[in-house]
Amino acid sequence: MMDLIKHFFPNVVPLWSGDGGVVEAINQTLYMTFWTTLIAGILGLIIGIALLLTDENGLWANRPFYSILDKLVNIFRSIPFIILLAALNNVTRLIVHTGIGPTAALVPLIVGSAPFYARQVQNALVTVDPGVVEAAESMGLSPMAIVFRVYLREGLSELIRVSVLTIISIIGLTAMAGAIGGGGLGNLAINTGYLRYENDVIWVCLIFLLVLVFIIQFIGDLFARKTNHAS
Amino acid sequence: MSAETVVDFKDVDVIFKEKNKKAVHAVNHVSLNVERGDIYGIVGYSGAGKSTLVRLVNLLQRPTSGSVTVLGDDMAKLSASELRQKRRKIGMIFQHFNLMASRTIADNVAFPLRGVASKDEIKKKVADLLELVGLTDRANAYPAELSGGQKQRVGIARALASDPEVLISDEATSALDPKTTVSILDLLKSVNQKLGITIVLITHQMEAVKQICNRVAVMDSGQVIERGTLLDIFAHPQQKLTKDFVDTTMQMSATIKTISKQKAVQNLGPEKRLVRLTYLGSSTDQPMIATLFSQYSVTANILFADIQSLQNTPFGNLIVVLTGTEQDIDNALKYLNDSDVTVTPVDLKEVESK
Repeated sequence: MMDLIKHFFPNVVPLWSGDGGVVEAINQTLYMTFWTTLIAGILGLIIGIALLLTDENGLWANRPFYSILDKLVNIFRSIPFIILLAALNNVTRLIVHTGIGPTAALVPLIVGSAPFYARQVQNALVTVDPGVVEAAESMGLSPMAIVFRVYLREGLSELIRVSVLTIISIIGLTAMAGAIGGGGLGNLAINTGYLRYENDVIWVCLIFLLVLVFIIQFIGDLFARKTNHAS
Repeated sequence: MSAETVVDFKDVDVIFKEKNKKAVHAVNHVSLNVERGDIYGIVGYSGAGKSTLVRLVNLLQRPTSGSVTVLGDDMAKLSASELRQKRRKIGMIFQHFNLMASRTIADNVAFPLRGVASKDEIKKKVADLLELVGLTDRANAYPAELSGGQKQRVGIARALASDPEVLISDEATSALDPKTTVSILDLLKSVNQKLGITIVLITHQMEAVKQICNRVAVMDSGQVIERGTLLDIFAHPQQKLTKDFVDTTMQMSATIKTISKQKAVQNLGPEKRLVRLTYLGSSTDQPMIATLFSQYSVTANILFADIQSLQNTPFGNLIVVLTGTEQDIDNALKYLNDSDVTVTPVDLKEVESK
């Protein structure tokens, strides 16, 4: 078995553990994915709900506020991530006092994915039946209570679906951030695998990224199904 | 018993303005009052403004001008938190039920009570309400598993959870089949009688109004064009639209069309007249048709007869061909008028041209 692995992945075996190894790269990818998901998730949820509420049909309809927030989200969503990485370099140094490594990568990752998630949240919650929202209003619920007890509850299944989509896209972004010094599997695949012509390293990175994506998709689908009672 | 006004519309206007569009006058100078214990029916075709009107009651719609007073308070002048308290006294049920798909039936009914009552109180209240609407055995089902009629029963139970004094029904039976409609209306009537809840019901189905309402307003293009007690509106409709609505409960236009094809009414001579007779209540105690013959020598050939019950008062409609001399028929019609029978000539040409 070991011989077989050595035969197909000659460069991976000595590179398995230790500094710059595969295990470290996996940990870094998980680290970046986790913190980005958490922070961008909270920010995106807040911005998404703000968009939902201040939209012209929302509970706190406010045209100027909506239009500014809407445009900001659009602008940040239109910037190609690789350029955002470079552009935010100074901001990153200011916040985390370093320009390289997984922690430094968190800044552009969050800036890049929070607006994406905000839009997804908005689109997911807009699908909640306006009639149900009206019914809750007629029962004397406050707008905040309607957000938590109606929107987040009735839209939960859809919210899980877009969250999975966002996490998978964040994994993609961590690989890109890795390529310019963020660390993780992306860094390993490009700086070791691609630049040194060690193709087996690329394949191993790819397999681990795919496994990660499949696990998240599987868990997400499970929860989305469990929370959907609409049909 | 002096009646207490529960909902009072005073000269209310609602105007919708949209950019680059003509302003829509959805509610046009409406004044209306609903008294405690009423089942007040507001009837009109879609677009007549009745849905907007009824949303003024719990301020889901703000009036452009005028005032809406509910249970003593001008709705537009309440603060946000006062308004939320007031809304708990105004239950609402909807055409499409608007239940929460992610919650069970019991949770849907408990929804307005969470954070207001204790767990035990909620449990008991939900059990009581589900029993009232006859859905005790479906407590743990989800709305998607229920039929339309059952969903509306859940809607009613939910609307009653916060012990409202007024219940607004927004086309609550319009998405249901006729048999289910009757059972939901029966449930509303018993809610009105057992719990003393005032109901404001809007619909385009005159059948629904006929079954449970005691007072009626007819709306057309934002205005209330006619109003009165149920008996008044059925026995003496004034406006064309009101007459049309009353006729829908007897399928009168279809009936007249059928009659117009009968031999008895084709080529009516000068000695024959086709008329519609409408009477309410006590008129039925007299042997009307027999009197026409014995006292006025006029024979009546009954082509169509329909008797309905309006709040336990018989309401009759007959279409007859009267035969006799012109003088005799005139005398006979005068007698009918004197005994509170409304006589309207039936014009077949008008029907055929429709």
